[in-house]
This record gives sequence, C-alpha cells and structure tokens, in this order.
Amino acid sequence: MFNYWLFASNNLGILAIVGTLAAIGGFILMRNKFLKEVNESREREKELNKRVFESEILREISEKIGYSLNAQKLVEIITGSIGKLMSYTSVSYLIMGEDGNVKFNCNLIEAMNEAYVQELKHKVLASFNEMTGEPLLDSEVEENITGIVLENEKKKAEILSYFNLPIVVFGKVAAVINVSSTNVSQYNEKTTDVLYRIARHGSQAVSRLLEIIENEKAKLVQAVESLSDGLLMVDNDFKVVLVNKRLCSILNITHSSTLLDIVHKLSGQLDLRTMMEAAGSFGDEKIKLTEIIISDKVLQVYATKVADQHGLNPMGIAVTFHDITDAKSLERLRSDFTAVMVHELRAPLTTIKSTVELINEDPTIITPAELKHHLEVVELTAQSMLELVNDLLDVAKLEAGKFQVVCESADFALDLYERTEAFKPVAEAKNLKLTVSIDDDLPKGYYDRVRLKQVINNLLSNAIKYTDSGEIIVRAVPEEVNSEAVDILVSVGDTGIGIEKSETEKLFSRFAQLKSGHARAGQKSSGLGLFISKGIIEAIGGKIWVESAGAGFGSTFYFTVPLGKSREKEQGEEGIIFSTKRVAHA
Amino acid sequence: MSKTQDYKAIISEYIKKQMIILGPVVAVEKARKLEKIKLKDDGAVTQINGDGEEIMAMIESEYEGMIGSIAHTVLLRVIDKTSAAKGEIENV
Repeated sequence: MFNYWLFASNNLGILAIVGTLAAIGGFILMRNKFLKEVNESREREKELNKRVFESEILREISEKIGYSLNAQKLVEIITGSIGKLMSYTSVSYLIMGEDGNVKFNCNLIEAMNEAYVQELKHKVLASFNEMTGEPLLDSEVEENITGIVLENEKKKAEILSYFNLPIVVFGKVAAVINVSSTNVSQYNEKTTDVLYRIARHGSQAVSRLLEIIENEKAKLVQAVESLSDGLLMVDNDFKVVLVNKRLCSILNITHSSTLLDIVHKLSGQLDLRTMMEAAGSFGDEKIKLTEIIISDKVLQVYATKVADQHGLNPMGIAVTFHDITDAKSLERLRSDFTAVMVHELRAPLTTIKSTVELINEDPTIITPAELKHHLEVVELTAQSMLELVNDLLDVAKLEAGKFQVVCESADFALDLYERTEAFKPVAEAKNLKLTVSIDDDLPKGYYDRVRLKQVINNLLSNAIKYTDSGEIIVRAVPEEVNSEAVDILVSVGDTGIGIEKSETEKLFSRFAQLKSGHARAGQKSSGLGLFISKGIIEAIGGKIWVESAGAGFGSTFYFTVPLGKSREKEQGEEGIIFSTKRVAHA
Repeated sequence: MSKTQDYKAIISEYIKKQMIILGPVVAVEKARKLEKIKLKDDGAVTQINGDGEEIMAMIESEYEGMIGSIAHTVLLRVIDKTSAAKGEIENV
C-alpha cells in the first residue's frame, strides 16, 4: 500500500513537472509566434509604406509628363520626397545643365563643415565620372549649397553611410543624386530599392518625352533647313540659336557662326544689331528693311519678335533673308522686253513717217518708179509691224489662257510640203540647201492648220536666219510604238549657230532672246516665235523641244502632231476648239 | 591565369566600379543576391560557382535593373581595361 502511494506520488510529481514544462514551452512557442507575426506585420507595413511612397512619386512624375518633365524636375521630385522614406544628413545632386554646364547642388539638413561638403562632391563626381568614362574636373563643376556650412575645425563629422542614385536619360548620365548620413549602416539594398525603381521609371519617362521633343525638333529643323529663305534666330541675350543652311550659303558662313560674324558679313549693308533691337521693342508686326545686295544677291530682310506660345514672354528675334534676285531679274527682263518691243515698233514707224514725209515734201519731183519703191517700203514696214503686233496679241492670249486652236483632221504632209516650198527661195538667197523628207505613208494629223503653218514658218525662218552656210533638213515621219503610229514627228535641222545645252530650256520662254542673248545684230525679231510655237503645239496636244550639240554645231527643233484617225474617233469629224490652259507662261 | 581567374578579376573590378557609382553597401548587397559568387565587403570576388560568363551576365543584369544600359557600358569598359592589362602582362 505504501509502495502504491509512493509510486503514485512520484508519478504525480513527474506529471506536474512535465505539465509545467509543457506550459512554459507552449508559452514560449506562442510568444515566438506572436513576435514573428508582429515582425511580419511591421515588415508588411514597411513594404506598404514603400509602395505608397512609390506610387505617390510615380503619380507626380506622370502628372509632370503632361506638360514639361526633364532631368532637373525629376531630380527635384525625388530629392524632395526622400525624407518621407528615410532619414539623412544631406541630399545632393550633380546635374548636366541644358547649357552644358555641370552643377552640384547640396542640401544640408544639419550644419556640416566644408570637408563634409567636399567629400560629398567628390563621391558624387566619382560616380558621374565612372559612368561617363570622361572624367570631369572638380573645377568644372558649379556649386550651390543650401544649409549651414561651418568651418572645418567646428564640426568634424564623416559620411558613414551613403548611396548614389543615377538618372540616365537616353542612355546618357543626366544626374546623380547622393543621399548621405553621419550615422552608420543607414542605407542598404532593401531600403533603397524603391528609389532605384522610381529613378528608372522617371528616367524612362523623361527619355520618352525627350524623344518626342527631339522628333518634333528634327521635323522643325528639317523644315527650317529646307527653307528657300535665309533664317537667323537669336535669344534674348542676342546669342545665335539657329542659322539655317540657306543663310550659310547666302552669307558664306557656317552653322556655328556667332552674331559678330554675321554682323561683320552684313557690315556696310545693314546694321543688324540695331534692327534686331528695334524688332524686340516692337509688337508682333514684322520690321521690313530696305533691300540689300550681298554677293550679287538681292535680299529683303525682315525681323520679327519671337514669343512663347501665349505670346507673352519674348524668347528672341527671328530675321529672315528673302532672296528676290530672280524676281528682280524677271522685273528687269520685263522692263527690257517692253523697251525692246517699243523700239521694234518705233523703228518701222519712224521709217513709215520719214518715207511719207519724203513723198509729201514735193510729190511732183518724185518719179513713178521712186514712188512705187517708197510705197513698197511703207507696205513692207507696216507688214513687219503687223506681224509684231500679232505676235504680242498671241502672247497676251497665251498668258491669259485664252489662246484657242481649231483642230481638224488634215493632210499634214501636204501642208508641210507647201510651207517648205514657200521658203526655198529665201534659203536659196542665202545659198542654203533646203531638203524636205516626208514619209510616204505619213498618216493624217489632227491640228489647227493655220496655227501649225505659223509654227512651221517660225522654225524655218529661224533656221534660215541663224544659218550662214550648209543646209536645212525638214523631216516628217510617223512615230511608232509597238509598230503602231502614235503621232507625227517633225524635225527642222540646221547647220547654224547652234545652242548651248544650258540655253535650250530658256529658248521657249517669253524673254528667250533677252535671256540667252540669242538676238544677233541685223536679225530683226520679236523673239516671241518659239514661245508662241510652244503654246500652239501644246494646245493641239503635241510636244516641242530642241536638241543641239552646242554653239557652232547647228540645232534641230522637233515637234509632234497628234494623229487624225484617233482623234476623229474620239471627237467626230467636226473641228474641235482647244483653249491653252496648259501653256506654260514664261 | 585561368579563365575563372579572369572572370573573377573582371567581376571584382566591375563590382568595385559599381560601389563608386551606387555606393559601397548597395552595390555589394546587390551582388551578394547572386548565390553563385562570394565576395568581400570591398567588392573582391573570392569564389565563383559556375560559368564565369553566365555569372558576369547575371551581375550585369542586376545592375542594369538599377541604372539601365550604363551598367553594360561600364562592364565593357572594365573588360577592355582588364583585357588590355592582361595583354600587357602576357607580353612582358
């Protein structure tokens, strides 16, 4: 019995000990679990805070993208927000300015000494240099310190923990942010990762925005470069912002020329600086200056004030150099043309007047033979005046688009032969051989018979006029495509003075003779024949051109006449009137 | 010098450059996230477990996540410099 009680009491003691131990163990386990949960909860809270911080900053960045975000603004957003996430002694950054200058900005939360600031600068500069591979010297960096900087002896404190946050835009280092503390082990990979994510996101946003701006800028630059006018733009400090290619060519300067170079080039012609100052003080209207002549070019110069998109803040002055050399030449040509035409009309009038005066002086002493001769002179001169007036009327109609041709199906071979036969005596008078070669199977043409005779007359008379020896060959053949005639090709070739290749285009212009200097002494001509011929040929649907091996090697004029058959089918047998909308003006 | 030694030298130099760029703690902790390398606090790699080229690419990728393509530019510069130094040593 005793043994039983002893056994029972022993077991109870063991059970009590085991129970106590189990209770302690349970408590410890529960406590650890509780502490673990508390820690996890704190971690989750920290993580949540980081996420909130990240989304706040990213939202701010996104908002800025709407109008203007650049590296400077991105840096300001980040440096202005770091305090919400971590404590620090200083936040500083090194940034590449838009003007190419590098700036170091340092914001001290606590008063620190000069050595601390210099160490910061050294660290951030070292980071920048490692990334760019092109070391910047300390002296090349401008400093801007916010906060209290003490003398070195006053507060000796070291940077005990720091990290750098690079801002990379378009693959280039735009800035480096440095966050430093005088406390040890303040920052690690875990506490800073959110800032690196923000920096990367912000950098990408700035890069994307810059890419859009750069693309727009490229479009604008291309537009400015392709301008036919010279363009100069200066900022408010009269620093050259833009010189386009055309202005470089006009003034013989480079894109990197300074305002002084440009002013120097214009000296004696234009006081550019004064003119720009005047434009800057004016309203929106352009200032037009008198014309200037630079390197044989006549230029009209305008100056305008450039303002921002709201038109409130002046941003600089734009000066355009409008090249009016061609307009001036044309104006002179018109004036010369009028003078020539007046002379051409006045000379025969003088002849007529003096002949009539001679007859009237004493008609009784003039023999019938002399009278006949005088009257023939008057008739011939009047005829030449009439031709000239007709030419001028044709030109006026062509220019007004009112020149009309009446086309019909006709035997072009016959008309061409008849015209060349008429010119044979004139050619023989100059000892020139006039050969005519017309294809036996030449199809009918569709053209204005009167006007096309005018064209043939003009080409033959020119050929004879400008050929002193040799021959004139007239040919007419059907022009074929896939063995089928498409039109009639006519050529009038001569062995005369020929034409330089550069002059061939000008030959068909209204001012042909004035431009090419083709008129020769003793060759009376209005010089309008080829211009009118071109108008006629184009009005009937043909083409006209000239080929020449050069001056002294003769020339061949070609023109085409549409076929009668095809047009008849299209238009019927009636004569069709075509106006001259297509005729190009000189 | 073996290939592994070459990679150790390049990666060590690369981490040291990143320590200047990012700051020592952040750069080293970032590198230590890779289990295939062991390194000292000064960035010197003591052990590489695996293909050196692959590890180099992995560490570059880690830094690229922080500073973008500049990480690649810096690595190329380190490789050039290390190769040139190695060439000079071998030519002596």
